[in-house]
Amino acid sequence: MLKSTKNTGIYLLMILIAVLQLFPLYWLVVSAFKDNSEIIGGVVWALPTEWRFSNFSEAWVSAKVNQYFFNSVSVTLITLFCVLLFASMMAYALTRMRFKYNGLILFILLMGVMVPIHATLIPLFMILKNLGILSSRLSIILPYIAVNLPIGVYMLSAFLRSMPKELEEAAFIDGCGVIKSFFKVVLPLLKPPLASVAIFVFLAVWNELLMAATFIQKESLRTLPLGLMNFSGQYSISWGPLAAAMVISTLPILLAYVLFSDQMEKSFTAGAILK
Amino acid sequence: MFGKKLGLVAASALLCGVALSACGGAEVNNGETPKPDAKAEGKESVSLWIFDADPMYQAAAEATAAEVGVDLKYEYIQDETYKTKISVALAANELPDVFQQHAGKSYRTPVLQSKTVAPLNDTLDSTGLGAKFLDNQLVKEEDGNIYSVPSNISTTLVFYYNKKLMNDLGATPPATWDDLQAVVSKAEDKGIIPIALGGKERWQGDLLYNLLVARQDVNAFDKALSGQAKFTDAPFVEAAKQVASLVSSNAFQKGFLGSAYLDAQELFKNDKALIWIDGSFNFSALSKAMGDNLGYIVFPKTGAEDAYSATIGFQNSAAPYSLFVNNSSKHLDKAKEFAINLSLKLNDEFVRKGLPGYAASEVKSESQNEQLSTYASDIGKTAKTQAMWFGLLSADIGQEYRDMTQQLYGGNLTPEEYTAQLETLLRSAE
Amino acid sequence: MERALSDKKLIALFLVPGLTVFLVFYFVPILMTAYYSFQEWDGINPMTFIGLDNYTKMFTADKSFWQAVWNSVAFLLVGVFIQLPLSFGLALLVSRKMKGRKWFRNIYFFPVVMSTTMVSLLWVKIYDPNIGMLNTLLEAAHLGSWAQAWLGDTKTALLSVLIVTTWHYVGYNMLILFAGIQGISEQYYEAAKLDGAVGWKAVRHITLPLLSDVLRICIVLNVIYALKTFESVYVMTNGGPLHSTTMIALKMFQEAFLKQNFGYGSALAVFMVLECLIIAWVLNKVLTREKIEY
Repeated sequence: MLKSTKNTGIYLLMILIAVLQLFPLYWLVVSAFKDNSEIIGGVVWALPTEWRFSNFSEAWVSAKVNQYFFNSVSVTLITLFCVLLFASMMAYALTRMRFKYNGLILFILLMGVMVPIHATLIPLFMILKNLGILSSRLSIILPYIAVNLPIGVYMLSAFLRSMPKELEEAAFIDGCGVIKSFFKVVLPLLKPPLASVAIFVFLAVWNELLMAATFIQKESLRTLPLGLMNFSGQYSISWGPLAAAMVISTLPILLAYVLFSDQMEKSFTAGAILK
Repeated sequence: MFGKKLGLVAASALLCGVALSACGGAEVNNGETPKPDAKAEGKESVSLWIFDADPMYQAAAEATAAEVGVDLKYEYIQDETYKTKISVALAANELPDVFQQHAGKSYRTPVLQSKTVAPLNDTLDSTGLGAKFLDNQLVKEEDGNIYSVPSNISTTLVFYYNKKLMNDLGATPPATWDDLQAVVSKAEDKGIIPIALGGKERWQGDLLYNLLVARQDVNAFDKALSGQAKFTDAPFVEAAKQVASLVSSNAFQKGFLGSAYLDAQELFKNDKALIWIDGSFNFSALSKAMGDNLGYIVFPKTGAEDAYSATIGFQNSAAPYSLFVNNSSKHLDKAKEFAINLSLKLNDEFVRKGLPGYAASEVKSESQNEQLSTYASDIGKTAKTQAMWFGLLSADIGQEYRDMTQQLYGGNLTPEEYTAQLETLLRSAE
Repeated sequence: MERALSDKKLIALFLVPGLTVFLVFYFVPILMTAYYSFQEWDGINPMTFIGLDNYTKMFTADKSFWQAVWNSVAFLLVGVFIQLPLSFGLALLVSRKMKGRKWFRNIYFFPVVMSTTMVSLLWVKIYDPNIGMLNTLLEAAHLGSWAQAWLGDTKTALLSVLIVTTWHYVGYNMLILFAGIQGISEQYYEAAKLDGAVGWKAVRHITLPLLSDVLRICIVLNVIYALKTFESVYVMTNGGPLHSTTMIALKMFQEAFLKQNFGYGSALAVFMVLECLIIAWVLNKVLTREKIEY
């Protein structure tokens, strides 16, 4: 009896928090179907009197959300791939291999974990310009890789240090070279921490606005945050299409999240418990 | 052997990136801009950066590109982003072929100093298009060259009001400071926002203060800046007091310090705010949105000066909204031709809307707007257009000045403190 | 094996790709920033060396600098002392074995995957004192006196921004902590049950100590996020009104690209680097010591 009241209480609390988390998004969705006079003059939580799908077509055509989305996805995936590969290689070298400057490299990298990326903006622009890659995706991909490597190396080498070497040794005895044992034995074992690094890097890259705003010179290469920012400048006055653009840009993530949340959480669950 | 494999992985990852970025432009194309294959048609391509959100700019640019015969790469960049982007691009010399720049010396000087922009004299002369621009509309720099063509008409600060709300209040548009105060309190009592003001970007309040000073004494700013008078003198203090009194009588909407300009404008358009003080460049857009509901008067006589004595704004003869051409453009001649023709095309659009253009145009005004013709005649009667102060200051001092003015609007500085700081700051500007 | 692992070529192969990218696109720019910070430079005309003048200006003449420092501290404190406990509470709630817990977990986490830019644009509209949702809701709930100008008032702007950050990221720490809780073996709880430790007691004596490593990671991540905050204030307030929400990163950005003081902007960047390094060092000391106490 007492227990069930307590359970109901907890449920209510959880529902309340869920409403708090979701209500702004509900408002966004209904606003996406309204016109300005309804948003400004109408009841905020009410459903639209008329469902204006035209907002969505307007957003789709002028906001080019699909294009920005594609850009964000490709930039994020390439960055993720390179960070995961380079970071695991570096972590492996730093924890397993013997050489003199081991400590120094680790120290420099650890500095990189803490240093804010904004500090590199001005000189980076000059470097990218001299390399002649300002007009390509590389102009943000390369800095993104550089910025996210340290945290990757940091998390992966922490994991590697705590990992017994027996398996690798066994692989050696079986005649595997260092490289083969790295790809066949070490990388699979690194899956859990790689997953947490991946999530961390994903969030950082997916959200990044400052570098994208400064380095991306071509409209066709804009990422989602930059595209939305730009769209809001043009459409701040018509909140309906802006809201629609925001809804469209969220839908694919929502879909991916619903489809893969199990998998994502599973790897995340295993990965977050670093030593 | 494995080293190669690894190298391949890394190389393919990078290649992948390059390939993606290379085909990025062509891959998705469902925007309105048609992107014909430049090489196939043998057209030279011209890239253009614009910060004006008005769709008129894109339309005019596309039409001009078709006429001049270039492949246009049009890019709209959100205003606040643009300001930072252009300074990076200037520092790194990574400008597009043609770009727009804000009015005011603080924006113009860096462009000219960077020595990255091309003089336009030759093309203006050889095409004969230079003759189309009216007197004083093309700025001659100290070296005798013309580096820019206008991208907007001369702009002044204008007093707009919402006719419907004014009628509901049973009030008439204010002609004096006392009238203005009365209207403000009347609106406030009825729960109508008296004046909508976008404080987030800071410039709107800054311009209003400039105008209030000019209404006290037309030449106050020029005299003070040249050292003949002080920024602590009566006109500056009186105007600051007027701002303070507007703030304390809740003349501006709740939270106006954080309101974005466009959001504040929306309050005015949607019958939530009575008065809107903004540039005349917005006349056509506002009257399109509000129709007969848009009212206009010359800014009230809030001080000793007559209402027609002075206004605040930009004259195209000084440091106008401009189009510049990058002198390292691959198709320099085409780019120049395009910029000049675009400027004239924009002029046609302004004339079509019934605004006073900056060049000769064959287009007839389509607008029969009574408000606009009143404005046109008012502007003819105005004795002096004081350039907005911000545009006369260097970028860092200008920003400091706007911060300070926002403190006046926020009530963090008394009028006396404000003018004292103004004196210190602007004195250092020389 | 030992010999293979000391092969210079192999070591180079493993280190060079990552290290090159890191050095060229991160480390060298930081050193260049340090160099710029001793110069007066508008980005266009040649630089002039001015020694420590930029730093003197920062500590003595720039009033909004200290405001930015204080705001960073506020972000840091809220991140560690409010957001983290909330996340922990949520993690405990969603770890209870009950129906639909996965749904709740997903809902709490969802805001995290939306970009900061988008979340900030959304909340600007929510906070709008004249047309926004929040004030309208408060008025509907007869709490009209609670209605504020939110982002438009110096007194409430920082708080409003902090609420958004908390709303946005509370699920992130929740998920990390939830993962940690899942990793704790049932045996501990069952053993504790025999000793009479259930409910809150079990949380205090089993969950918290066993989570100390995960908590440490969360604290470090929160602190990094707090000190690096840029996007949310840039989009929501641009540091205003009256600098009440400004951050060092934002100031650096505005100095360099709006006021064209590239030298002073670089000095602010250097300060930010040092601040982060010092706090990281302190954090490391404090948290390691705490760990021993367990």
